[in-house]
Amino acid sequence: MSVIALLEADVLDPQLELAELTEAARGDGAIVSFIGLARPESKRGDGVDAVVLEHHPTLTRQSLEDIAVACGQRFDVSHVRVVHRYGTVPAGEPIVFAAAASIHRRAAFDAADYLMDRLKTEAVFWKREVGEAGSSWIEPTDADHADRERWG
Amino acid sequence: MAKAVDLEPPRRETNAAKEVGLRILLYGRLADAIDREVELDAAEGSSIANLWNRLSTSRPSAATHLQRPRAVIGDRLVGDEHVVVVPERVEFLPPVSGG
Repeated sequence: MSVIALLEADVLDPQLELAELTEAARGDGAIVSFIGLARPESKRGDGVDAVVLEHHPTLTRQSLEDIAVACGQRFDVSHVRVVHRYGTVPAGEPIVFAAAASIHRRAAFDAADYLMDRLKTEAVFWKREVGEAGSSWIEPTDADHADRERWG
Repeated sequence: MAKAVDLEPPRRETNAAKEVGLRILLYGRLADAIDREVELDAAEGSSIANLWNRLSTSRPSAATHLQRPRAVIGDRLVGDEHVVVVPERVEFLPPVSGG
């Protein structure tokens, strides 16, 4: 079983990540991937130019690794891959790629779901949206926390 | 550039202990409310709770709007009772946003 967790400053190419995972997962029967994009609109309907993700020099990467490793231990998957941007991500661009490969589809679906529920609430980032309404910090929502709680 | 915060120490600390300079790093909302980097003179033997109380006292708006943050020393979370030893660098982390 392989686990990859990367923190990227500038570029996240989901197609490349998926291609590398597909190559690594030869012999498996399923790959489930998720791409999170910087939304162009805030919850209040204001235009957003970019999402800025502040990170910690060591704890952010560690949090990604911890979540990815836990995912690999919990589900019957052969590969787990998490790639996360930090810094300024223009609206519409990918922020996160989270994927898992397995012999049968259910484990890969569950693993990808788990990855994102934990990343959305526990990854060590401080995010703010920057746009026409200025700059505003973003916190996990009640729904994000409820999603996380599904996994115990 | 670190910003020096010159504060009156709590009365019980006055003249009771030597003051030492600590470097404190802040993230997210905390950096907005206080500063990204602060040099704080604190009594030798100060705990994390002491440091946070002094910092938040220096910026009442921060104390009003922020939960007590997690403290990190040497990339390890430490509790409120942890006694800071110079030249440890202390980091205060507000609740994370997630990815």
